[in-house]
Amino acid sequence: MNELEICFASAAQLAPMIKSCELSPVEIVEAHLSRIRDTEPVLNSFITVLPDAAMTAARQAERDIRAGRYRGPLHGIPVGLKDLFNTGGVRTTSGSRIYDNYVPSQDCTVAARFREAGAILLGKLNMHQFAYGPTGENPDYGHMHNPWDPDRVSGGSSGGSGSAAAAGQCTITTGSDTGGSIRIPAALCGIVGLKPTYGRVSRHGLTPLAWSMDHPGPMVRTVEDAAITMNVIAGHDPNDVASATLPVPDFTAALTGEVRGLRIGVPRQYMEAPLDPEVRQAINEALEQMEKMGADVVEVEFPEFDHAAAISTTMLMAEASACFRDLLASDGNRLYEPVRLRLEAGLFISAVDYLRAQQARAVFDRAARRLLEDVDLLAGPTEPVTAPPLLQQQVLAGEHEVGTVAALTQYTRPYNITGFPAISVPCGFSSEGLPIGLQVAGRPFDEETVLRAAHAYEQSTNWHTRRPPV
Amino acid sequence: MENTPMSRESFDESASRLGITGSEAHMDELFRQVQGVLAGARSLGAVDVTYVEPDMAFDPSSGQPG
Repeated sequence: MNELEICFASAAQLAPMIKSCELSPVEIVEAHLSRIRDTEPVLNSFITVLPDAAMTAARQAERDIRAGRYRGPLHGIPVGLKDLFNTGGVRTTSGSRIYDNYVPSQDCTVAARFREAGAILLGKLNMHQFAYGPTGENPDYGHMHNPWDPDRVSGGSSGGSGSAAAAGQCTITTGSDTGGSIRIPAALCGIVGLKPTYGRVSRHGLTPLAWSMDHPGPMVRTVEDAAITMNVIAGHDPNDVASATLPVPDFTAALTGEVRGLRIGVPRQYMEAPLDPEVRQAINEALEQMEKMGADVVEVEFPEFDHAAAISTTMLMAEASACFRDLLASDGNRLYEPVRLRLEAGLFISAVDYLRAQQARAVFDRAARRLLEDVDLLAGPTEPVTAPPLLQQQVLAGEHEVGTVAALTQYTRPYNITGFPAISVPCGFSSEGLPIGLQVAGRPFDEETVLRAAHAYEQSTNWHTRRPPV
Repeated sequence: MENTPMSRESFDESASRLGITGSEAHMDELFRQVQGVLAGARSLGAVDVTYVEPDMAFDPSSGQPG
């Protein structure tokens, strides 16, 4: 394996070679640090790179594995964390210079679980400031760039995670998703992004954006790596009040390669929303492929879909403004102007409006649950468009000119409202060579079926094997 | 302006009460965004929430739908 092959190998491919000492964590980390040096001037995926600490950890992992102390499939695997996951002794900025010197004393739960699993932290990944935007803009640390076309957005808010995984800078990255912030960059950068069920992965030690809709999860290049990562980071955490106590399965056991017998619903509303024709074609072909593989693909009605944006926006903006009210008062003039405006606008939402949105959320949630009594999964586009040019305020989705923020979140927000698991998996490329993502969502705590369908589809195509030109 | 969720006068009063200040351009843009946010919130009046209590958060322990 040469350096580039190492950087684009999955954790599932690297792990047996690490375990058998055929490949050393030192070689793997060196290859990734070299890749980061080569590509970072174009991508700007990182806020902090940790070359010395990563090499020290790699040498320790090498010693441990040679001594027979192999910890499992993430031992020696290079990981990058979005820079709102607290890391003990390593600065955590949340994408703002206001926190340029903030060094947490303790790891968040996810970082601690990676550390226990022997994963090697390469650095902290760039993000839309305070996770409050879907494009990957950041004036403080520089905007993120899409590896498939650096003049285009990586997506957000976990934009650095998307570009780092897509460009082979890290084997595994993490994101957080409040309105689509894992799935949006995953779709736009051509990788796999899983938003687990709310409560499945601990939020403890993450900078919040909206408490009732924040979901941490993996961003990787293959569905199998998403399952491997979930095996490490999922599970009850008494430090997170929303953490579920349900048992955690072996997610890799769900990857049977089989979709026969699964009933997949395609909401009619998905295809009637503003949608780029090339994206529509790719999604239709993906659904036909799943049908050929034995799934029963049917059109369904998503009764409250049209209210998703208003429910999500009202709740997210009110909660975010509550989260950041003190910061807004003390440092408002240091915030990125669009982020500041959103935080200030949220202050105008009344308690009555917020509670009305919560009532509507309950109605929406019940409708979605009823829908999932008739079908096993819901599928459709993750994004209505491919990656737009940087800083473009409007996008053309089919015949409709739509605001970029509204367009990028139109299919992702429903599953932040319900908390259901949802994944984006690559399903094609536009004529301009830009990735397209298929979103598959499932019942609460049934990540297994979501992963199973996404994996079976992925393995029947070669979209995930393409590498960006950067 | 009668059909907008908030008049400019009410907006200016609320902004002052909330301690929000900025350039004229900033306040104009904030006013525009607030109109959109409140219009979205008010659109939820179309959802029938009779006998529905607010979900303060998705309950992870409930497991499966139904």
